[in-house]
Amino acid sequence: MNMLEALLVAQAHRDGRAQRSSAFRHRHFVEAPMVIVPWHLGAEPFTFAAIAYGSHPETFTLVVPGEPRDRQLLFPLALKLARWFNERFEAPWELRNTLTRGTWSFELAPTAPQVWVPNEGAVTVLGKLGRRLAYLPTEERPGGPPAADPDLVRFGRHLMFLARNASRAGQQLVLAATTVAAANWATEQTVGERANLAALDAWIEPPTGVHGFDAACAVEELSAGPLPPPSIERDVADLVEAFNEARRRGDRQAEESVHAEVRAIYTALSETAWQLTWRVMERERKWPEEPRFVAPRWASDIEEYSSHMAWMNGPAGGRRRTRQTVPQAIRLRASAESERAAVEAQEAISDPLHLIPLLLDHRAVEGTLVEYDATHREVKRGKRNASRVPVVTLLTNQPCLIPVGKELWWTEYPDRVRVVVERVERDESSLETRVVLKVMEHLDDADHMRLAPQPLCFTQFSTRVPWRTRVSDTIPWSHQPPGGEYDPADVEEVVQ
Amino acid sequence: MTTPAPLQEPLADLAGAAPRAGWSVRGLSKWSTNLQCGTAAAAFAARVDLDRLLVGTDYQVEFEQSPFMRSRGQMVEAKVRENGYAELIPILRETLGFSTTEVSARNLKQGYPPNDRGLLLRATETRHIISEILRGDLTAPNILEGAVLEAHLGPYTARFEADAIGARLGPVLHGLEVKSWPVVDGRADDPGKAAEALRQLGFYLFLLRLLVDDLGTDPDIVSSTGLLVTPRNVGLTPLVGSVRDLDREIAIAQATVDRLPDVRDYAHVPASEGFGPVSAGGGLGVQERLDRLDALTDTFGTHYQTSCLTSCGNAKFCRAKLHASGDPSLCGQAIVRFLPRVPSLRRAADLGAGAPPTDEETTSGAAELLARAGALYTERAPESPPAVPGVA
Repeated sequence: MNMLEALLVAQAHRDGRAQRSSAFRHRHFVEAPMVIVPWHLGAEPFTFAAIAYGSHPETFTLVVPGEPRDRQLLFPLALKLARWFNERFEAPWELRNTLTRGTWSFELAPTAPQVWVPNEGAVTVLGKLGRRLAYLPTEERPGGPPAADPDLVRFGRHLMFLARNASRAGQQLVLAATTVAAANWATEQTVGERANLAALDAWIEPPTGVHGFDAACAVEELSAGPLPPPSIERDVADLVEAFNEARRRGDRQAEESVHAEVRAIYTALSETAWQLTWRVMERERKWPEEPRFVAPRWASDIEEYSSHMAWMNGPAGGRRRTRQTVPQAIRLRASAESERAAVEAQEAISDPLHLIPLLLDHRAVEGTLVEYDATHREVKRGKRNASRVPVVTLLTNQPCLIPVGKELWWTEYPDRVRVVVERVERDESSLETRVVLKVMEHLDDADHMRLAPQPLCFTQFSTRVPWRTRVSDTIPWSHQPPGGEYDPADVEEVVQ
Repeated sequence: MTTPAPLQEPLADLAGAAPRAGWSVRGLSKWSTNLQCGTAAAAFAARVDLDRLLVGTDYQVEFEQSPFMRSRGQMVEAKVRENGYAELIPILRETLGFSTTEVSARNLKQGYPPNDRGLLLRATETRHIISEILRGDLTAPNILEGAVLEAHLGPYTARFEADAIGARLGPVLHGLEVKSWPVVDGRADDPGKAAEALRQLGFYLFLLRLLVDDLGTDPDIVSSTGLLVTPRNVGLTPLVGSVRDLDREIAIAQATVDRLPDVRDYAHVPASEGFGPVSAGGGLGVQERLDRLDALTDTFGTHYQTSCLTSCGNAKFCRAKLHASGDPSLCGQAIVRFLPRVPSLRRAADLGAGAPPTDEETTSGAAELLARAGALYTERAPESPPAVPGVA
C-alpha cells in the first residue's frame, strides 16, 4: 500500500469502478497461450476432479474422472491432458538453435510457451498434480503400482517446473489472471477479495449503472477454482458417492448417467472460469506492453524454459529435487530476493504511474534540467587527484526532502548512472525547488542528460545486479539433515 | 452445566432463537482471530453461531467444511484407532519416547450424549483419568481421545473438546492432533492448515495445564511439545508423526483465554436487543432482521478486518455497512494508516481532487499528499482502451 493506491481506492469507491494503477502491461502475452482451469476435491489436492484446457476463448476440452481418488480412472484422463499439454509445451523446443559463446555452446528455443490459469490457487494445484505424476514409476516392479505412461511423468515434470518457476518475480511462463488484473487495477477490496476473479473483474468493468461494490457482491459466489462453492461441492459429493455405488453394483448405465451429471456441473463451473480468464487476458492485451524491461525478461523466461527442456532431455530426464539442500536454499533465496528487487525497480522506473508514490515518498526526484556542468572537477574521497564530476541542476515544482548525500540512479540508465544529492534549495516565493546532483559513475552516459527528453528522473532504484557471495557446497554439521539427503519418490505409497 | 442459576436466563435472552454453537477449541481458535470485535465476543459468550445467524438474507455466508475433507478426516481417524491404535503406537514410541508395550486407550467421543450433559460427563471423566495418571496409576489410560477441558467465562464454565491426550511414564502429558491432510516430501500439504492445527494443539495444552494445576500438580508436567499425526503422501496410510514445539502457541492460548468474554457483561441485554430477532427463527422479515443487527452491532461494536471474510458469518454485513459509510478500514488496516484523520474514502477522493482540507486533515499531512497524488495521477493517467464484452 502507498499513498497513490490509497487515493485510487478512494476514487474507486467514489466512481464505483476500479482505477488503473499502471500505464503499461508489465507482462508479455503470447499470441496463443495454453489455458488450464483445474478443479479439485476439498481434501484431495494431489488429484483433480476436473480440468478444462484449451487455447481458444470460445472452446475448451474438459476431463472429468468421476472418482478422482481412483487412479484407474484418473490417470487415463490425465494422460489425455498430458499429451495435449506436452505437444504444445515442447513445440518451441523443437525449433531450438545451438548458440556458441566462446567455448560454451547451448541450445535456445526461439520462444517459450505461456500457460494461463484463473488464479494462484490453480498454480498450486497444478504443482501438486505435477509432484504426484513426476516420480511415478514407468516400469513394473514387484509389489508396486502399475507402470505409468512416460508422457504422464513428463507432464508432471513440466508442471513442477512451472509451479516452481511461478515463484520467480516477473516471470511470464505461467500467468494467473487474478494476479495480472490485480497488479494493474486498484479496487475497494482486501487482498483476499481480489483473489476472487469474478469479483475483481466485476470491479474493473461493472455493468452500466451498477457500483463496482454491488457488482462484485453479486458475483463473488462464482468460483474460478480450484474449489467449487460449498453448495456445489455438496452436490458433487452426493454424485461421487452415487457414482461409486453404481460402479460397485456394476451398473454401467447408472455410472454413465451419474458421470454425465458430474460433468455437467464442472462444465458450468469451467465455462465461467474460462470466460473470466480470457476476458482478463483480452482486456490487458489492449494495454501497451512496457517497452523497456518486459522483452528482456521474456528473453530470460525463454532461457529458463530452454534450460528446463535441456534438463528434461538430459540424463536426469527432468528429475529434480523436491527439497533443496542448505546451500541450494541459500542461493535460491538470494536469487529470488535480487530478482524481486530488480523487477520492482524495473516496474517503478518504467511506468509513470508507478513513479508517483516514489515522488510522494521522496524516494525519487523529477525535474527539468537547468544546468549541466560537465567540466566540474573535484577530488573524490580516498583519491589524491581531482577528477571530472559533472554537476546536474534540476528544477522541480514538487517539494523534495531527499537528504543530502543520498545515492540516486538516473531512470534512463538505472544500472549505470549513479548520482549523489549535493544540495536541495527550496524557493518559497515561487514554490520551486532546485536539486543539485553530482554524477559519480558512468560520466559518458550521464552526458546524454543534456539531450534527453525532459523532465529527468532520478530514483533510489537501480537495476544493477548486486554482488553475491559464494556459498560453499559443503553443508556444515549443524545444518545436515538427520536422515541424509532427501530423495524424492513416488507419493503413491503402497502399504504391504 | 455449572452455570449459576441467576445468569441462565440473561444468557438465553441474548441468544434468543439464534442458532447455537458449542464451545470448541476450533471455535475458540476462530474467535481469537479477531479479539477486538465486540459483536463476535457477545456471540461467543452466548454461544451464538454467527455462521448461521444471517441465513435467508443476502449476507449469508457459507463456511461449510468440504464433505470430502470430512469423510477423509473420519477415515484417517478410523485408521488411527484401527487394531488397537496399531499405527499410532510406534509413532508415539519414536517421536515422544513412549516406552509402554501395552497401550491403554480410552475414547470419550463414544458413549456420551452429544449435548451439554455429555460434555459435562466427559469433562468429569477427563478430570478423573488425568488425576489417575498424575497419581501414577499404571492402569489409567495413556491415550485419551476426545478429552474435554474447561475454561471460565466469568462465572460460567466453558467446555472444549480436545482431539487426544497422550501420557507417558513420568508422567508427562502431550497433546495429540490427528489431521487428514497429507505430508508430502516432509512438508504439510497446506502451511495454513498446519498452523491452525498447531494453534489448536496450543489451546489443548494450555487448558490441560489449567486442569493439572487445579489438581494440585506442577503444570510443567504437560509438555510444550505436541504431536501432529497425518497421513504420509496421498493415501490414508501410512501415518507419520511430527513433533512440534508449541511454546508460542501456548502463550497465544493463554492470552486468548485470559481475554475470554465475561458473560456478566451481557446480562443486561434484553431479549429484544439480542441475537434472537436477527435470526431466521426470530419471526421477523429480512429487512427488520438486518435493522436489528445494525442496532446490535452499534451496541456491541465491530472490528472488521481482512480475516473476517473467511471466518465470520457476519462479515458481509459488516463489509456492506462500512462500504455505505465509506470507512477506509473496508480495505484493510494498511489504508487506514495512509489516511490519518480522513473520515471516509469519499472525502479522501475529494481531497485528491483538490477539495480544501480541514485543519485536522492539514495537520495530519494526509490532505497535502492526497492533493499531490491526485494532481500527479491526473497528469499521467492513461486513456482506457475499449472495454471487452461482459461474461454472460
